[in-house]
Amino acid sequence: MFSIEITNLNFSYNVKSPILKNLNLQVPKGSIYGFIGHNGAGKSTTMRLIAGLYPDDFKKVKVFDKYISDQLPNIFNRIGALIESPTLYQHLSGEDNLKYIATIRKVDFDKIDDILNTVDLLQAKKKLVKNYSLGMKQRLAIAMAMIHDPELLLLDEPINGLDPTGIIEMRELLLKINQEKGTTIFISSHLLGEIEKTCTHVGIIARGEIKFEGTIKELENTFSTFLIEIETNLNVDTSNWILNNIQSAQILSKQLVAFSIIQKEDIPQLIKKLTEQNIPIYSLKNKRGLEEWFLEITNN
Amino acid sequence: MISSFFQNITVFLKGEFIKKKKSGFYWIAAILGLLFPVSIFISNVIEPTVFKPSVDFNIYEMFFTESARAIAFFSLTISIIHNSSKIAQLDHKSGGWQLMELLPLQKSSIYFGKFLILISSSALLIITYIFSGLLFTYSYFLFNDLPANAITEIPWSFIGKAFLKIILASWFLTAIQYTLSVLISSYIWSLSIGFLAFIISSILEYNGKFHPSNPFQVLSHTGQNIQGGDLDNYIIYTEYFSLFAGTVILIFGFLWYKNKGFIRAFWKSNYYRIRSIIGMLLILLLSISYLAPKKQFEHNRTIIMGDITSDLPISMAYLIHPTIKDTVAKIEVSNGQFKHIFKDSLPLSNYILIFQNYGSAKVVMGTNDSIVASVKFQNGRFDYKIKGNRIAENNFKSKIDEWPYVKYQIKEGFDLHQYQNLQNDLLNIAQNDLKNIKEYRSKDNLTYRDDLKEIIEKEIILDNLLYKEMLSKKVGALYPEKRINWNIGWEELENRLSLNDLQMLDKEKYLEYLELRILKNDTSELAGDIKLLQAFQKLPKGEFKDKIMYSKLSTLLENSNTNSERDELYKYSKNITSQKFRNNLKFLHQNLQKLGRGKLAFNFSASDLQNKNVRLSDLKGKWIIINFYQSWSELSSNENSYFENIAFKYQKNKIAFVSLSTDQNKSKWVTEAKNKSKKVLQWYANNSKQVNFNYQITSIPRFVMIDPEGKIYQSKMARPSEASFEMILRKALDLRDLE
Repeated sequence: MFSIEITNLNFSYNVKSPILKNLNLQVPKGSIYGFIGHNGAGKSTTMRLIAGLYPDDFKKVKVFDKYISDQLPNIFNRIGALIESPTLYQHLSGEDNLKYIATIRKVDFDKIDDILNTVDLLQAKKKLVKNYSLGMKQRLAIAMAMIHDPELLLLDEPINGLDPTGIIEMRELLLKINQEKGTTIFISSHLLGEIEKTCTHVGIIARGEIKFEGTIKELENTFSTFLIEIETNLNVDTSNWILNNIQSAQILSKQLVAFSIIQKEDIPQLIKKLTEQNIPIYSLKNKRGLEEWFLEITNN
Repeated sequence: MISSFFQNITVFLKGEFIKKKKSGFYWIAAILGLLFPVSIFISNVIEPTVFKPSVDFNIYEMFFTESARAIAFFSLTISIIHNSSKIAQLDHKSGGWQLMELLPLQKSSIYFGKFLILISSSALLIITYIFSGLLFTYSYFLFNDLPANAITEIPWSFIGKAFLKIILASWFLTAIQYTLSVLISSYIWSLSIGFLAFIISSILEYNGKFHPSNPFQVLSHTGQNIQGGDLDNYIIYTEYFSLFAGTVILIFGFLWYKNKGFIRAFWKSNYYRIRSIIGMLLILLLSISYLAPKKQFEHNRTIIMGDITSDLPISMAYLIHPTIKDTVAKIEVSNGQFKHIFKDSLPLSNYILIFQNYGSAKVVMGTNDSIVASVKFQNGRFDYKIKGNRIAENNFKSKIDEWPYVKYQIKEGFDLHQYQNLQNDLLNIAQNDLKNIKEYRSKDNLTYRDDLKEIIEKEIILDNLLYKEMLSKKVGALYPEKRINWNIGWEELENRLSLNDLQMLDKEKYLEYLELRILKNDTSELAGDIKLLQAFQKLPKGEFKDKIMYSKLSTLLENSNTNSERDELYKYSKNITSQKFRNNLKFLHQNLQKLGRGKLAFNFSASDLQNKNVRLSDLKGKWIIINFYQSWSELSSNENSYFENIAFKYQKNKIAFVSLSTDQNKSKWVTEAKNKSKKVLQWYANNSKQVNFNYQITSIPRFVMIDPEGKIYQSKMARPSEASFEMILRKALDLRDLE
């Protein structure tokens, strides 16, 4: 059962430069799906196609097992979406913005205070939105997207502009609604590290193509080796010793050596070996995690 | 599906009302609706309106009729431009257009819902205008006198129709401005485009350049015709067109919006392209053919008929020729209805339909025309409306209103030494005028038929030929030795307007032109009028000769003062072939002779204010001035006050002043006459028909002076308001001339 299913989707504004190339995507029901890629990789375009903002002329996008194009606009009774910068009516108060959405969505006005409480804006509800901070606006936009308890929540860069506490609160909020209400959350970001901790599933997009799709576990398994970089000072002897005795070593320069190891537990042993040979260790960096890999594939 | 659409749109509208909070949207409409009623009220309080007597009128209807154009063309236009831009901007500014797409809202609800809100703001404006107009008009008459014939009932049905008309007329502009505002995300741009178009349209409007495809002018046209069209229709063609064009534009805008772009909506495949092109051509063709002015068809008979609403006893109507004064038809009126079918052909002309001597209506008609006249007489006021198959012709005012400098030069005699240039300029103007005959549209998009166009062309030629003759005459007098070299084009124009054109006989200017042409080469020493009669005498026998001679002779007879002069003129009547004309002249001559100086005045009987029987002969031994009048006539009452003043001034002299009423209703006369000066004898004619006949009263007021022996001294005296009235009086009484 997928909440979102995209098969072989191609999209372009003009023939010469395709934005999305043969894109496939499967978002399982009940998951928190992190959709990760750099700015310009095609995230927002994909998001817009899923939300029906761009026409899906060739019927490649399914939401709740039916083509999105066949379900507009009533599908939004089941979807909440926040796409790109938050769309809020600046001349109205936070409460009035929610009243507007509640009216259109036929949601009881009683729920407004609850949701304001959830996003921690209850005190500011009478304040005009134009006087809100960026974080408050973002939280209000999320409140607007989920006031009707949607089955699927589409969030485009929701943590953009949030401060560290805000980011943590947001993560907790998303986890909470995912766990309590079983809401499927499709969330996009250009920073892997920030949502890695919340997601059950990850899709990575670069230049319009999916580079990886799977669960967080699968992702960790695939990229479980570590690359340790050590700053040192080598001479011919010590270099030779390293090359002969440590298999995974790569001498990058006189001052820099890299080692591949399988698990964290191997690090102390490596240090021990080096110090025994009187090789100085000025600093040690763990160079390869998910983040580094992500940068690598997306930067090419 | 329809019910779900309505559900969806209701939800959308509810949301929209939350959203437009504090946007000042309805406030602006309400204030603009109040603007004119308030300012009209204030200006009326400062300077109260003077009401001229007229047929019954409704005070509220009058207010709305006078102010509707300002509301439709100014207030409403501004409100539409502003509010369209505003309602789109509300969502452009905050990305709301995208937000709405992420909500369970149908695009049709969004697009048409917003349009409905716009229309509702226009409706609010009109309602504010209506109710404030009612209130202010009512308040105004609380403190000011209500005219006697004013109706004060609130004309709800008129108001309802006016409301509908304005909404329909605003549909087109609202659709355009709204579509523009949705497609252009910049507030300033859509606002600027709207106002720029408004300014351009105002300039066009000011210069009288009207086209029904201009949405601003559609509004103005409705404002000017808030009473409806000429065909008993309250909705006029521009309003139907507004509904059509507005809806087409709305659908076009919706498809563009729904498909997010012009190409996706109309141009993405050959099928779409063909569909779009055919659709556009069809709409264009429909619009062009609908807006093209229509000509009315001929009828199978020639009929004039109508109805009369009147408080006067009208039993006869006459259709007469305007210049010849020849009665073309004598029509009986019974139960307020009249009808006449012509057996012979009737040349297309501006006729005059006269109702005894109460009033007259201008009627353009000819063979195979069916004309229906609705006539109203009330409180001495006369009002009429012409319907039938010559609507455009009857409403069209042929006017050569431009006043080119060359005509001014010729008229005032400037730069006459440059006569060669002047004639050249004048010819150019004539040829240009002929090329650019203005297209005419009636309220209902009717235009005149080709037969009238031909007459219009001849009128233009006539006007310029008159100036040509004027130039020729002036130059001839100033430089007798010089000759103007007339351009070859003049000859062509002169050929197009013959000197015996029956159709042109209804134009005073044509008669003037004929006289100029005839007298031009006649150097004999005779008086001008005799020269003309002699020239007409030489014309070949026929209708033209009869008519022109009859016209000239009857005017000359009526204007001459002595019996011998009239006898001399009357001799020329033997040249007329038509028995009818000859009889008419004979009759006129005889009657005028009866009224000649020294003839015994008809001794009528009358009642005075004490209801005693009196006769004219009772006043023998005194000079007498009789004022023939009727109480309904405004002109009479004006002259009455002068008459009374003069009577007061000469009360010591041997002269009697008599105001003789020929009213039908004696009791009405009694109440009015009792309030008048005692220096004037107030009499009521016992047999007004007889009096009118014997004194040849064809119009009132008329003043006749009788000498102490009871003989006519002046049968058509100047009016008391004219200085010569008193001069004649003083001369008769042998008094010194006034300084």
